[in-house]
Amino acid sequence: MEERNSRYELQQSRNGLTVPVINEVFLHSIYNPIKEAEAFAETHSKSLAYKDKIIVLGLGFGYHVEQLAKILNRNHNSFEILIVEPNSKLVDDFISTRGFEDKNIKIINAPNVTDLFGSLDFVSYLMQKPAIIKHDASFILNQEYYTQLLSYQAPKQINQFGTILSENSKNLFSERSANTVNDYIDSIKSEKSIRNRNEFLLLAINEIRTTTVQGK
Amino acid sequence: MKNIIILNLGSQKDIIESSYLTSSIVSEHPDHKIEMLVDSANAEIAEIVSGVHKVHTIDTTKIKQIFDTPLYSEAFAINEFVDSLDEIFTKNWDYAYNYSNDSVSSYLISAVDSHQKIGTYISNNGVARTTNKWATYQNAVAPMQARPVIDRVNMRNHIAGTPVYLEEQRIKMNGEYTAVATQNFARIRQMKGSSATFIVGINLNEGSDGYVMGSNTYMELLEAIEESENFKAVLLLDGKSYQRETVNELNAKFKDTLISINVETVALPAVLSNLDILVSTSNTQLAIADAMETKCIEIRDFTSKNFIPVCHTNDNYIIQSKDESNMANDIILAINEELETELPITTLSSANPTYKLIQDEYGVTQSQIRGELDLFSELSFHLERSITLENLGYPHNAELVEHVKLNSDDTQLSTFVNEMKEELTDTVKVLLSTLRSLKGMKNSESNLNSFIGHLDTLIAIGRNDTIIASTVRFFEGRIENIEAVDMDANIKAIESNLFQLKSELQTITTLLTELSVRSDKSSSAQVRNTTAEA
Repeated sequence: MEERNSRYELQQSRNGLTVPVINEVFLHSIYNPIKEAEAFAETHSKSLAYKDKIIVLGLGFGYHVEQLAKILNRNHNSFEILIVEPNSKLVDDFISTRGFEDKNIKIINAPNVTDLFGSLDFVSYLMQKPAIIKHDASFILNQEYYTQLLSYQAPKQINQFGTILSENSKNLFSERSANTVNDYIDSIKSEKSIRNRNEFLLLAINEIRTTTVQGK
Repeated sequence: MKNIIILNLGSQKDIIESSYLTSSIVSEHPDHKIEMLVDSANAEIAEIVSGVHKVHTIDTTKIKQIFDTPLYSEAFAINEFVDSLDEIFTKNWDYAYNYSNDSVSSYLISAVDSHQKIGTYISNNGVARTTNKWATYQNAVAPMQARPVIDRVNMRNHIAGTPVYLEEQRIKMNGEYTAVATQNFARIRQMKGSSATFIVGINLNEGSDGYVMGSNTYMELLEAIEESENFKAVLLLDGKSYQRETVNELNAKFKDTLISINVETVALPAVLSNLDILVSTSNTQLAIADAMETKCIEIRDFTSKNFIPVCHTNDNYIIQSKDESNMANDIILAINEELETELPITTLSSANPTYKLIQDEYGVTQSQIRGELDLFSELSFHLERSITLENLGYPHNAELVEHVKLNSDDTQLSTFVNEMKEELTDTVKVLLSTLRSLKGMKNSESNLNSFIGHLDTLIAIGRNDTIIASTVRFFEGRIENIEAVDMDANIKAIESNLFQLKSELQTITTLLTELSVRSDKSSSAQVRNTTAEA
């Protein structure tokens, strides 16, 4: 984090709005952040017309998000915006200075990508297939972080599930040693003898995983 | 008081059908507590099933989506699964019933802590087993049938050992919605100046077989109904945009006089209970109406590979759409028959097969009453039903045999009997070879491969969809259920089942002989007449 904020300051734009400048990157226009944000939001108006859920990569100081919210409000009865921002100081300063009035906008502050994908809320939101919009200045500033986010693949090894796997779920894997869920299930099948309830449950999960979802 | 868990991860139709089971259980044992596990997509439907004390849900779509997406940790899917089932798996059950008979439920039932399992379950050595002959039939025979001969409701109740109590309420009614619906429908009836106006519900939802009624059919049907002094139509929608477009199109022709109702699931029973008759493709709304004993006319696609009706109730109709131009006429004919009315029709003959559901002492069956008849199919259907029920323990249906003999064309019946005899003869030959090779194997184990080869040939006969093939599949299902501890016990059990198959094929032989008697008499009568003329 210290590295993230080695040079961090909040400047004032020509029209009096706060503009964070981090490692010499201006997160918004120093002249007119609102006008810049309007133009930015307009470039995404097509996808905002049919998507009512979006993820914004980068908080900046929120001006672009508010403009996106305006367009969403025009097009939908309800909408949700989730902002992913790794910089905790920026998030704290924003909330203490301005904050969002609109309750449809939420910020998720996750300093590392693994923690982000370990959050059930975030994953559940992703499963609703939101549109993903980059805030360019934030992206440039945290390129490694956002690139990692966009190319993330969850680990398959059971011992890397970490704190995601609940205690009850962990019990399912207590009988055998296998690297992945796939390997564990293959191990059960290869033995042609199902030892206990947990193994029946894993085989049931396997059926859900491998068969076509039942229609209406 | 018993605690019962019903695993019902199938379709909405499965859930509605389970109302026949739950209501029957409650009828026999009002103090039993029934809980049901369904897919979360079907939770709303499960809530209206009578007799269900609690509905548990599992989101299989979400679980599968997580597994299918590399972005998401599989841990979330496993947590979702475990959390959904926690309450079920921490409880002791008296009975656990695999109602939907899918692979997931078959594993789950084996994991459930229950005094007795009902239906198909996976054994400790990973093999699917069934708990009685009806479950064996369900697993081994029914899935291959394009037109199942045993009504699914009856079959599933038999699996549970519970008769179907038709007089019981199967669908929960919401008092508030019922009161509002009754008032609204009373007003609709008065639009035609009488509280005795017949209300015909027309469901705009598409069928599970993909069939949607043509706009001309809607038009002609609505014309006849709306022009009548005694009828009023109500269009039923469930929120889909294509239904709204259909309503707009129809209202343009009927000058906005049509009544349409957008019904949510929770209010559906209240609406359906106010209809005099419902015309619908094969879908959930129809299933609910049928379970509530609302008069129904089910419209199906003639070209559909399977003929598995949604309707189960006596006197309801099924019309297969072969000639769309006559559909409206056929529907009106059925309405007139059912309600004893005289809506105008243009013809009594049509290519569209019309069936009526008939409740007999064996369950519910479909009897074709109009339209192009495929005698071979109809004969096969009814005779296979009779044979199957006999093999499942019901008495021989002599009445059916007499009915067939009296009402079938001699030549066609004779052809049918001869074709079946040919297939039967071939099958019996294979069966006898299998028995001989089994005997040979008892004398020398080197004959094992020969026996297995003959057995495979016998089982392969079951791959078709004929009466004899079904009987062979039933045999196959039974031998898959054998739980022998050693080779000798296994062989003995297979042998016993082979003899049972022989006995079942004998049932078919007897039936064909009974059918042949009239055919032969007719043939010999023709010969005598010919001889007399000469």
